Amino acid sequence: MKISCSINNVETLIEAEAEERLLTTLRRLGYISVKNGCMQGKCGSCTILLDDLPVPSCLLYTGSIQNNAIVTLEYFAKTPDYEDISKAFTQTGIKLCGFCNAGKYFSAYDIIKKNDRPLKEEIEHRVSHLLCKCVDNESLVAAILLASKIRFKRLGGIAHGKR
Amino acid sequence: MASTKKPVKKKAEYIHSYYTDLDVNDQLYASIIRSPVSSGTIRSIVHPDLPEDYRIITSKDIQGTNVITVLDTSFPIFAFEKVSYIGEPIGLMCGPDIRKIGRLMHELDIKYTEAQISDNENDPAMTGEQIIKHSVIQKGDPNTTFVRAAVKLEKTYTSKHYIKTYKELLGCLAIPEKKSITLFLPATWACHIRKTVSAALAVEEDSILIKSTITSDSANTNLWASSMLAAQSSIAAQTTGKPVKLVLGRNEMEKFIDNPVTFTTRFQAALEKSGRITGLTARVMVDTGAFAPFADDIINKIIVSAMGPYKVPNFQIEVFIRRTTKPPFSVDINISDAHSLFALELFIQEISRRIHIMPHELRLLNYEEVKQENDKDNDAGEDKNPVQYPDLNNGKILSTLENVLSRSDFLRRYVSFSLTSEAKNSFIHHAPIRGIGLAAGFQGSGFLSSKLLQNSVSLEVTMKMDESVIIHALTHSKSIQHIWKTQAASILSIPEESIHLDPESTLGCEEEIPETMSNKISTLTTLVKKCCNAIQKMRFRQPLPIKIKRTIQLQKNSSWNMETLTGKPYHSIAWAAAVIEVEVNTFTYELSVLSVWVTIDAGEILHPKDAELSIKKSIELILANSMTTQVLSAQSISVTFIESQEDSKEIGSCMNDVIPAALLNAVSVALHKPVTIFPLETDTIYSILTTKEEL
Repeated sequence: MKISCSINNVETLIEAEAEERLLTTLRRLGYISVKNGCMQGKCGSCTILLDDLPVPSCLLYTGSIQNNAIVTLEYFAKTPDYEDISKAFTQTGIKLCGFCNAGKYFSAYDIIKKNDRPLKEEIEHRVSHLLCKCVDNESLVAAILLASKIRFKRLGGIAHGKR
Repeated sequence: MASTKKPVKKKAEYIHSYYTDLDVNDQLYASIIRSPVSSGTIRSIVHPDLPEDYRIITSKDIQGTNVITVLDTSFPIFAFEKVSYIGEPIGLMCGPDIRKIGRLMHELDIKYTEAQISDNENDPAMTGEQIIKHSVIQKGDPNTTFVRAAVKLEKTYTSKHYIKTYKELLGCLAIPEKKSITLFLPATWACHIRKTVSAALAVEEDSILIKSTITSDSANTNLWASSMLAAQSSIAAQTTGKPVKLVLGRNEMEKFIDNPVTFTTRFQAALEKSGRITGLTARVMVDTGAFAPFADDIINKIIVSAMGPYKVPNFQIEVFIRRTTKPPFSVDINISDAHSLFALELFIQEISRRIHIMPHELRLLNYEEVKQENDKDNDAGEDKNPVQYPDLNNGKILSTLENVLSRSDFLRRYVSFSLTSEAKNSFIHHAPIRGIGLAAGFQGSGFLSSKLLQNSVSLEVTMKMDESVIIHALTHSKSIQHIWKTQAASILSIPEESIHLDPESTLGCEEEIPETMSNKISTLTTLVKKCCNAIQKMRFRQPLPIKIKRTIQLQKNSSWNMETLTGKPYHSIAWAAAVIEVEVNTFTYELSVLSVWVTIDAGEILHPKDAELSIKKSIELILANSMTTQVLSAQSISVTFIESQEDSKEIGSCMNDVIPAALLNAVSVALHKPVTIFPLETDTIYSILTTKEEL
């Protein structure tokens, strides 16, 4: 079947079998930042932004996509939001393994986008599903807190999310 | 005329990419056809209507030898005449569309004759053939001490150290060319891959080019798995003449690659009333599945660590390696001794609980060596008892233990939690209960009885004309790269950007041992320091470029004797102690890890921040895999390194020696009953809480 959607801000017509998982389709199309981790929606390595929300692409049927906006890490890596998070990770001394980057970056983005000043407990809860333990949770939470401050500062101290 | 032919350098080239992200034109995919029976003979594999572009590859297509040899153990690349376990590879299905391969696999007709075999240890049909290795070592006379003992205790512990990671699936992309074949895969043991593929294809080793991609964690456990997958995809590529990509499925990884070995350890102790252990026997049963290529290393490491740092005057250690018709189990050789250390630390906790002595006091009491009557005879010149205590650098454990005890306020918490959990039936119902557990252990690297140990490790460092430096070694670990660069930059007073890593050197063939064997990093780090110091002395006296080679002889001057346990069994030993505080929810039987305190003595810590993050990561990973029904995570982790100017030691896997034991000891204090199975389940906690303890 033919599916119309936007991938990384480009209108695209995908040809795929309806029951094919979006992870497989995206990798076939060359978006290799989407990694095949658990195929059970629990490790976070295949995370994409679907209409600006982080979702595990291994659980989505490609056939269920219709006129949605998909963003992968290839595109996200060129955005200022990525820069903020990346800077925070570096300053906290975090070195990601490379396989789980999509899960960590998109989760962090979702947290700091929705709340300019997220609480530690809130972050702990939101990252607890990321099963790749290449970083300990304490450091990851500290990095996301720092990323929220960097983003807040970049946006001129204007609150965009709830407090 | 003298020959000027340069020796061929057989080195794997490193590619900073995942092999699963690589695709080439005209590429075929492959899936492994597996045996439907655990024992018997496969007679044929047929498909009633195989499409033109698809084919089945079996052992008949192999032009060389159908064998993988790991140390003294051999097993087939594709089983045919005889299968040894359910799911053993018997062939490959190849074709251009991976989805179609999946459908065709379901339609296969595999004809076989099944043989009956018993795996049950208690079954009288179980023969001696199933015990493939057995070793026993004894000091003194433990049997007599049991007759005289004031207290006797016995307990059996079962452990499966299971680190489930969601990293890249193992496999290989094999691209055939006219006179060579190129393999893209995470190659931690490139030398073995090259030898296996060369023998399977009946081609020269030099015609096999290995491009080592980013290494996944699974590559550390089943060291031979990469060789098997490389051989299988290469055979398919040679047969079809096309590139073949073989990627295991997640289920295959869990069943055949990441399945952990079960260690069952039974301890019996004879004690004085003071808590002094006078006799201890350990009987360890290891079920390794169908093949046990590293059986000798496993047995020897268990024997060395079974008594840990405890100076028990009379002991017997007996280890059995069993072969069963289960798939060959994964074991990380670096942590095979963690199981016996784990069981020992749990048993010590159980002794302290039963005889009402504080856990740390019991430990300190039994770290001390007691002169025995028969030792006095030895002093008189009669060598009645040649077995000794291995030299594990035990002095380090005292400072490590003291540090972690004081930081965690262990004594106060232990007494408080023990009293509460002991009396919980009388005044507390359905309240969260807390526990605190202690464990100490060591990580040895460069095991001198290992068949995988090199006699020596060499390294070259070159300072070029422009004063840039090349370290002729490579590791995928960013932390280790950083440590090497920082160290070289500091010694040579040059910026880190001028230091590069390149595995090419004049040292010849790639190393015979797996890249992940733990002695490599500490020895290479020491060698980087030695080479840079030598360059620093020469650089203003001699013209550039300067190339320096340094070597560490691992077995030189070693007095280690495995038969008598005399001498130092490891090239270097790091000690660690951990305290964990937990809370058990008595409504849901779920566990919360409140705090983890860890103290490590690992010599000079070259990059403290990286080391701390690496230890914290390791703790999180172990905790996340400590319960099968819950993903545990620590609310706070505190890591301290004892300051030291000694050479740096490996710490990569030392948390495996202490975290599982400290966690289960904490749960045991909370429940006021022994916990004997790792990993835990909420059902286990429930049954421990609700059943009466049998004394």
